[in-house]
Amino acid sequence: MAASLPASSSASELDEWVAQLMECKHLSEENVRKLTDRAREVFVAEPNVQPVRAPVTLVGDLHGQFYDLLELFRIGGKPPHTNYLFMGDYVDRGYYSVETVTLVVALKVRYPSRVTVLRGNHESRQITQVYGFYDECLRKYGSVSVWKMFTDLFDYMPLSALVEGVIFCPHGGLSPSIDSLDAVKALDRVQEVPHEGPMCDLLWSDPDDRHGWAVSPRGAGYTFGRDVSEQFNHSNRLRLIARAHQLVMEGYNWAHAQNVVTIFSAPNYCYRCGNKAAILELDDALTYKFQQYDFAPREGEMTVTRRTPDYLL
Amino acid sequence: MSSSTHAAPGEDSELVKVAVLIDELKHEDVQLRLNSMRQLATIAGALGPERTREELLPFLVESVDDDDDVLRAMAEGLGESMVELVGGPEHAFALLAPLEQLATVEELSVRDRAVQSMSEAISTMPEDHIEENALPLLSRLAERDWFTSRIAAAGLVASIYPRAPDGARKRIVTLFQSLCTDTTPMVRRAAASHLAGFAAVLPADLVDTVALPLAGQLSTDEQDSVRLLAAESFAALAVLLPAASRSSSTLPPLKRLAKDSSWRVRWSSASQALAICQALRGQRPGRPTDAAGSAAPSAAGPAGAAAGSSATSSSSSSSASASSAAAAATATAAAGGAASHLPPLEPAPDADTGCVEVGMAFAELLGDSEAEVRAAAAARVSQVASQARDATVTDRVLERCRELASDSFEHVRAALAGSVLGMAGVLSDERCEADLLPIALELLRDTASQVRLSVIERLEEVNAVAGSKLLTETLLPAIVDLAKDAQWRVRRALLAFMPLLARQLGEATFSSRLTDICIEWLSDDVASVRDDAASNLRAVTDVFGFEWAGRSLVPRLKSLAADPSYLIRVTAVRAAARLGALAPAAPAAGAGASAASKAKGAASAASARAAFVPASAAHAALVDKELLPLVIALTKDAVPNVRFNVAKAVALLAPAATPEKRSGRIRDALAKMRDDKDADVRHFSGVALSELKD
Amino acid sequence: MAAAAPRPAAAHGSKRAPEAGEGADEAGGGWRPSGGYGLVDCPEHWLRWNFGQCFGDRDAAEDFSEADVLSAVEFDPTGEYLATGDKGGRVVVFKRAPADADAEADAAMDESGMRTMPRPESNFRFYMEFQSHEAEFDYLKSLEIEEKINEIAWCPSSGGSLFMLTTNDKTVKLYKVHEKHVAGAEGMNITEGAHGGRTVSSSLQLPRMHAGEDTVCATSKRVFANAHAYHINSVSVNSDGQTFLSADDLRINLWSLDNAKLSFTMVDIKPEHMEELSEVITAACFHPRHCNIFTYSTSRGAVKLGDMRASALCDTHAKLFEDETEDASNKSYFSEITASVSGVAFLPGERMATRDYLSVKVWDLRTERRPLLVVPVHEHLRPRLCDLYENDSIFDKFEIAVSADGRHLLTGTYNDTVKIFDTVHGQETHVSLATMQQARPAVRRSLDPSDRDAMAAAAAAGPDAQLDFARKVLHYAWHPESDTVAIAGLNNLHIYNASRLHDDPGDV
Repeated sequence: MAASLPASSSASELDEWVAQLMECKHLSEENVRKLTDRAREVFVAEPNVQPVRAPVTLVGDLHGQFYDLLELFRIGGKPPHTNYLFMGDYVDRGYYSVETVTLVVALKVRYPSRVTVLRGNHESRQITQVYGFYDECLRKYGSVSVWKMFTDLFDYMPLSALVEGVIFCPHGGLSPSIDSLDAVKALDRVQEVPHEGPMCDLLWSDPDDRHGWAVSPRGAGYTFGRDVSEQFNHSNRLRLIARAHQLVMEGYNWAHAQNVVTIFSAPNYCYRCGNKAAILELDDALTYKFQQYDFAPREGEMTVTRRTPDYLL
Repeated sequence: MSSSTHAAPGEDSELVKVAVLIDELKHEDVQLRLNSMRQLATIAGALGPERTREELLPFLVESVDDDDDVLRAMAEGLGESMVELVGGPEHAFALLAPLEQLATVEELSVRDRAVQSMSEAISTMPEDHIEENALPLLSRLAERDWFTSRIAAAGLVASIYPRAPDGARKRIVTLFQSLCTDTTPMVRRAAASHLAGFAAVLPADLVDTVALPLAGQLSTDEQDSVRLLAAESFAALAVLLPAASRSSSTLPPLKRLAKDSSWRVRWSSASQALAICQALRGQRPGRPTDAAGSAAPSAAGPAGAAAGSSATSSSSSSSASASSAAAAATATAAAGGAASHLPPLEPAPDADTGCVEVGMAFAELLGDSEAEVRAAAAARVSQVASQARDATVTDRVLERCRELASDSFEHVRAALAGSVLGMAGVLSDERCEADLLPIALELLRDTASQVRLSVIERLEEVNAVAGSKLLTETLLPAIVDLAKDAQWRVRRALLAFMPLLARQLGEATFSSRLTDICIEWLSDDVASVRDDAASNLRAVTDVFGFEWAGRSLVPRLKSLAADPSYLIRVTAVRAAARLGALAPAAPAAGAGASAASKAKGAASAASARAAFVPASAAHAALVDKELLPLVIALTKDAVPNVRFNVAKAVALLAPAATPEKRSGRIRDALAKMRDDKDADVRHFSGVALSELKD
Repeated sequence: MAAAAPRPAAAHGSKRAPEAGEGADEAGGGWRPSGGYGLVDCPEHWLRWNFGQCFGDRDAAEDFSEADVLSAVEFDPTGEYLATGDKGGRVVVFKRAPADADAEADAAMDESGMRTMPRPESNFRFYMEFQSHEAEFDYLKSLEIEEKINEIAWCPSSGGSLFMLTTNDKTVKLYKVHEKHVAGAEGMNITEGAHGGRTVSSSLQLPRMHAGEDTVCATSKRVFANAHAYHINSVSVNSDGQTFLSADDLRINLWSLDNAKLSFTMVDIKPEHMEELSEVITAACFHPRHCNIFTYSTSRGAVKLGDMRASALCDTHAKLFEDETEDASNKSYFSEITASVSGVAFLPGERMATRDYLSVKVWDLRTERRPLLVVPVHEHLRPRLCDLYENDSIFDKFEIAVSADGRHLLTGTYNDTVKIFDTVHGQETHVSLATMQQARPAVRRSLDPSDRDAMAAAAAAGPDAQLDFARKVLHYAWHPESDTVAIAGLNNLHIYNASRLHDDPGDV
């Protein structure tokens, strides 16, 4: 009930933006400013552990693969008919970070109670300068102002979600400095993702086969063993940790005796990994179903073909 | 120069609007320049003819933009619509100067558009202006060093020649001949592609003495990209030749091209086989749809619209037929307008033997070493066989088809699947069953879903071939298998054929074999299959009627509305809404007109909103008694997504309901949801309530 | 620019020039004509090479930025223009000066007190420069993409503009180079007032264009990106004027110049498992006249001919040229590396020339198993392959350039030197770029007999003293009509012109 009803004029403006974005046409800089201003108001009202009601569909990394996001909607249904929980990493790597993150944020603002948007480790100033979002903004807008608007907005995105009180959803994983959800709720999240500490760990950590905690080979966050997940779930009365952050070939992957599940939603990641993507549909009664999908047929994107092109005929 | 007035902020007079447009022709922002250039007519209208000629056009010449989009907009703006604005045909020549500049730029689409606009302007010009302005323009273009300029000249010849004075015509011919021997292959290619158009405006004797030799020469060009275009011109030339010499003049070169060392040229001759047969038989090259689609006349009826709507899903044959359609369109346009306006064509006396020759050459192409050639030929087997009307050709083609049914390339098999059933038209019933049906069944069992779908797309022909009994017994199991295909895109494509199958199979068979499948698709894992399945119920209902829907569909919908998954409940609500909604009134002219209204876009969509087919008694009864209760029962669903879909559904069903229902239950339901605890439910019920008032 | 007085090029009378370090084994290390392709000993008939021009900062010869190193040189089809690309992603275009400009240049030279010289056949002037490629980061593979221009290919010019394709490892770009009249507009209808109000003229007027400057600029027309998974080594425009190819290590893509959205992979040699990979594509180009024929070379020394008429996919080559006459006793651990073909070019008369590390080969397109001619280039380096492997020089990729008549071949070597071969007379000429650089503005030219003796003496004293592997010459182009060559020597572009002494009456 916290979310305010969008005035119908602004709803129709948002509907126009969403329609434009669905065609992979990015918004004007002016409209991005309006959008991020309104998104900040929505995010700032959300706690670090955003409560989410079932039914909802969980989505992992997207990484600028816009056409695969459209495919995801074809598989899972378009908002608002289907509720979505996006678990971060909208930008970098793929060719359409701008369109992808703008669409996700626009849907959040248009349907704040249908769509939940979390922060991933790529939703950061530092990472996006290395992995593509910064350059893409520069290329598509001629300046970095849109990059700045979005990275400023990223600071406000919630760090995790809690579905029906029993499924904990961070982008990365757990932190040795956090043993309860209350500890997450107490973090001051409105800042650039730090290099270390609990906020960093939530966005960077990975589950691992070994027991206990270990330094992550990624250079940030930790790896945590089954004992850690079981303990955390038990003490917080959780049934599951659902997270994204790692490429898994089938699109989803159970770990830690079904205490942790990884969901990855960018098929053929980086246009070459050959992986399937998946989303996790949670029903009214929390019964779950994974939906796998493949790299989507592209329209309007560069294609390299083995079929004779028209220009030869 | 001009006194100034102070414009009030927000002033929106016509003057200011045009002033802004003019200034923005020189704006730094490409988008603004483009916007202004697209409204060249507005600017010209405000300036008046004299100032347009004396100021605007010179200004455009002087300041040629370097953005291709702006240039294209300029070329478009200086076409037919501008003639009146420069002062009518008397002054149309003024448009040539800026267009000449545009006709030489490197960007192909700009040049093409500029040449088109030039032709438009020239077609309005008085005779004496042709000699004074158009001819010198043509010479300049043809003699420039830049090959782009000479390409433009090749495109202009056909529109200038018929209007040129007799004395100048010979020079135009010479000029075109020199373009055909240009050292730059791009120019020869342009000449080859405009040869048919030029021939169409030549007197009959010159077709024989000028155009044919040019076609022959281009068809032996050292570059195969030129030869393949030359191959396309023969069929167009054939219709211009006297019946007696038609086959002797065109068949030898075409048969040679069918054996060309380059597969691209053979591909081109495979796609020309039908057109040349038609020409020999005294038919003008067909309209694009005839050339691309099936030869079976049954496909052209109202049912053709359904087959047409699935054209996007047929992959391999579409590109091939699209370009042949374009060629046919060019030929038609070249012949001076719609084929129907032309005098009837006398069949060639040796049409039978000629078509057999073409048919046999064509059969060889079905076994070509290059898959693209086989695919191009496979897509046309039935048309060519029906033109040849010869048992030897038919046997040979059929034999090749049997081989092609197991071709190693999927797109070849798909092309065959989309066309082979049309062979029924030239086969006896016994041979259909003995020879054709096995091919169809093999293709229906193909490993590639695209091939299987291509067969389904031609189901009407299957019916014509096999009769509905065979359809039911042999093909239906394959169709039912496809309904459970692992590829969701195949399932979704098959959905589009359900109305067609409904018509072919009849109510009893459809109900017993396919209704279940239609319902099962509503709980498909994939949202877009569910969504199409929801629309499909109505499409099938349009075949069998609302009573049938009430009997066969509604009970099943009711149980889906109680499904544990909210996604399925939402689908049930949406299916009910679409099932009961009023159908938009179809424009009287049928499929063609509806496509046209689609093209008009938003404007007509708004006006179309008012036009609905009123609900029949059975329709209204189904909405009142079944669909509305089904939907409204879900206003209390625990999941908000279901509830706001109810709001949307109610808004859709309301116009079909009886007035009592509208003011009663519907309004009550929406009013309750207006106070829902969920924001989106409140929003959509608010929208629905406001629509109810309209 | 360069005010140098040329002197006749080296004229040495022997059948071929003995090379430094090569010894006297003429039969073993010499030209290896085969198939009855006779060399005519006709010493008067060769080109005399004269130094023409040098562009680039020669004073900084030892101290230049890596980004300035030239990596591509190409004349346009008319020979009026010349383009270079460098490791910094820049393209510089030179234009042949008109005759009267030459006169002016001569006059200027006179004033500066320098010696006038016979007019060089080609006199190029700086025309324009643009940044073609920027360093990028491949976000998908987390790799740096260098801005280095790997190749330039000119397209047919049209509408008074020049067009060229430039490529780095990943992206081909189509540039339009054109002269632009930058004119300002005045007399607008609406003028913004100082206080935010605007003034509208009472009657409509069209802006007046006022005179501006002519500038030459380059506009990016199309970017052919994201179609190559491996590094692009070649780009070549088809004679149909409509298509071009781009080749990387494993694939050759065919494009339409008008369409950057679709690329057709006509050759794919990627094996199912990368462990089975036995060769990579090293260079590819279209036949200059037959639009269906293209050739590509591989790291195993094979040259393949593709025929696009035969089928759409050209994975199976139409012809495979491999030298089966190679002396097996020469095989060593390094043979596979030195066999790699680094340059390939078609010659008139249905022939083809290839360059590998040790030699240049000329092939008859009708004879697949043995070359018409094998010309040793680096035979003298054979004993030193181990060192060359150690310092990576063995991987240097030397191109091959062909004269307009196809009779002369130009290829590079070390020590700032290129070698020019007369394939009819078996003549070999060395052109040293370095001599010119050391003795500016004095004479440039190639080895005369005394130089040769000196070099041979030095070679005998110890090859290491002689060969400077850093000063390798990899990129060069032969003018499409005249005997003018453009040679990239590190950061400098050298232009040499030749005069022909005689026309060989026997050479029809």
